Amino acid sequence: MNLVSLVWFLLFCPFLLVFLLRLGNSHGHDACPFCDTKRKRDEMNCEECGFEFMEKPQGPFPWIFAGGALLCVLSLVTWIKCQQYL
Amino acid sequence: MNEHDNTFDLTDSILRVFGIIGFFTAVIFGFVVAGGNVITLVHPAEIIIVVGTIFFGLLCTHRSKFLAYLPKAFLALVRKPVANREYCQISDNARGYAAAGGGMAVILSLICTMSNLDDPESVGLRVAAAMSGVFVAMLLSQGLFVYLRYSFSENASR
Ligand SMILES: [Zn+2]
Repeated sequence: MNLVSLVWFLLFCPFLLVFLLRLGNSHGHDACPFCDTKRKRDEMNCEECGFEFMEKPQGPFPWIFAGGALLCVLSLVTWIKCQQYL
Repeated sequence: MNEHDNTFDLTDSILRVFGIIGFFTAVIFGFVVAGGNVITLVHPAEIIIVVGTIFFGLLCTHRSKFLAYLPKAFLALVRKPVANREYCQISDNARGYAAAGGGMAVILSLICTMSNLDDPESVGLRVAAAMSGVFVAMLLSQGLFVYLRYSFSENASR
């Protein structure tokens, strides 16, 4: 149980990372960060200024990352409990 | 667009520096108040992976433009920069590399932890090291590069 929860925790860590990084992306996914032109679906370059977008407007389903992040935290709690630190 | 080229706005610079210092101080101070030891945040291996990924990733993507960007980015921390699409783009790519670096730091810590499971004492420390990599990546991505991306955008000059 001890190791299992640790392994799960480490496996879900990247989800937590992606979730946290996306959380702070203030600029939304529908406007150009440089010239603020509204961006069309599936457009990877800004029409106005040629800015290259990093993410697709509708990226991978955000709930997958939210769920992964939650599982990451839960497995961490389980692991700490197994260590009888709590 | 070039009207901000040679003007130096003291209030703007003071607020800028105050904001940046405040941002990082608030994070670190909160950590200390919560009972954390700042030394535990510093894991050279994680910092090498994250910062190295950002630096060399940008270097191979933008080459000489990236080298020209570096002093401009440092200057942008204290005074309002001129809008520049190229620099805005580099700042945005830096966010991506920070995320990639943070992800790799976690994966590598995972491998490191897995291969040393027979030493239970060190497992907790290795997990803490992995988390510190995520922390450094987030701090750079959200604290620094989102700021730089906006500073170099046309929106900031309006
Ligand atoms: Zn644009």
